[in-house]
Amino acid sequence: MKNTKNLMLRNALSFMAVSVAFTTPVMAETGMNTTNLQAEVVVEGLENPWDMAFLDDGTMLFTEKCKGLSVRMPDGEINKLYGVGDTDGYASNGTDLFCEGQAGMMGVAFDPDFDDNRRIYVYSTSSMSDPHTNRLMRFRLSEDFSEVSNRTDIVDDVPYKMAASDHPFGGPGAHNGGRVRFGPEGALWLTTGDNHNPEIPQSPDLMGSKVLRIDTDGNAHPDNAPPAGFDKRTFTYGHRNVQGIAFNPATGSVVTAEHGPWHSDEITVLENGGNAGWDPRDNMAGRGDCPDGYCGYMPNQNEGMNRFERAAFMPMTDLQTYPDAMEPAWSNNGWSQGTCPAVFLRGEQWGNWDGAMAVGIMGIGFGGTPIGQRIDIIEFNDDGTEVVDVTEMTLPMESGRFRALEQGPDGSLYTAIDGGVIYKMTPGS
Amino acid sequence: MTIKSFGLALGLAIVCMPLAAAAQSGGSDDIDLASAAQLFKNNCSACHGKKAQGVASYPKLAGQDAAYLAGKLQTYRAGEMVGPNSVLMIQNAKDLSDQDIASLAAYISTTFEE
Repeated sequence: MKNTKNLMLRNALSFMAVSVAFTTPVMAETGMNTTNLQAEVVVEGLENPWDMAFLDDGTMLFTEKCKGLSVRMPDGEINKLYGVGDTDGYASNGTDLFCEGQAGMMGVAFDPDFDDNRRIYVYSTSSMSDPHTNRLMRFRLSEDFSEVSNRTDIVDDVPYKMAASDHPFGGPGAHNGGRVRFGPEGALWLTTGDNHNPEIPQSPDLMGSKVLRIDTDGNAHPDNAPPAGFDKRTFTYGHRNVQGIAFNPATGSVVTAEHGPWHSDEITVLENGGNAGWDPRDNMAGRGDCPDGYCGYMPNQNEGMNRFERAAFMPMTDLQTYPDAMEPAWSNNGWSQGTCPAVFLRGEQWGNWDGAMAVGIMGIGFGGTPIGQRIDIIEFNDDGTEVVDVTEMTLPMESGRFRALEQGPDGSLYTAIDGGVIYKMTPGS
Repeated sequence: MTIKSFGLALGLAIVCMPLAAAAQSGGSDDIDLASAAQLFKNNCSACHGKKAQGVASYPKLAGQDAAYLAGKLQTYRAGEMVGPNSVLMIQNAKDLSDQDIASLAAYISTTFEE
């Protein structure tokens, strides 16, 4: 792996060429000029990096889906900590961990009290249970950052898709969610997915399709308010596959970014106990039989069709069946393009974007959908309840499948792309 | 004709490039690596990676020989399901010409290292 190769891609000619190609007028900017972003390669040569987490000194944990957990020290040295399965080169291995399809090692977070307790948290697919599950593991990271120990699985029951089904992306391992973050008040948050299982989203006790709010032992947060009969770890339910969660610094609200089916990626401002309104069961809400009982890609799951007709048949948020469901604040103009990570930008260096939310879109080319790989900047109203503007970031490097976004302690925006690179994007010159 | 409609509604700028390349290539059945490079960049790399290394749940193409790649594209073009992501490939391959397939297979097999 090579470290810190400065790309310096502030290229005025490229920007002009793009502007001409799209015949879009170049608008005068106020405040920060987005063409001033600079990109730097932090780590490259990775295999499907999935998430990062930072300490104040720049120490960065990162995961690779099929390989494992590593830490990049401030001097650029990388220590491989905990391998998936029998992956070579790691200080230790989780022999029960494996990757399959979309599943593997995913989200990672430092404990807010890491300096005192040395705790970190990693979410991964595991074969320890049968059927297999996704687990949120807690570790102790050694003083010299060379190894982890004291693995404790604080959540061991997030469902995993064991067998293939008759759906797009229908292989085992689909829809695990996977983002792990601490909120500003110290609670631990985990996002999960529906496994292509029609029963999971509205289930009171299957922990897929949920946003969990828990403590660092995996216990439910005492203020969670799900409906009666629900697992108390549930903050929200009825999701499809949430891989982005962020906390609005102005309002304290919790915002998710979520993959839509063949339509309607969503950004949702969460309500405690709320239902996101995804219910892909067949023979309800006007639908008949669907492949393997899951209508999530219907009515025409193998070919392109109008995205609004799709949404009418199989809504991402079914407000007719669930009138009190949380309405999305943004639905990507009806497209599904792989909307994945989210983070609020903070600091004066971001100019007009200080307090806005960055969202990574990985891109999907299917049936007339524009591929759409990009980072969008989402601006909310003062109450944090509505999206008032969406701006596509002028990227200072090539686009990619933007799997992770996180702001580093230096104020820069870091992104991991599936293609194997972690970039740092820094505003200004 | 190197490229017919490729089945993807791409932005104007990225569609124009392969069309321009197609116009220049004439009507022969010869392999057109330049057009294949554009096809790969605009349509394949978003999922398979810029180096065809395979990303996420999309398989690696680097290291596969031309016959294998062409065979798979022909299978997808015929609408046959192969694996869990087949619907994506069927949509992407359905309007490819024989020359497109031969060119893409040649380009991918000779450009990217395993």
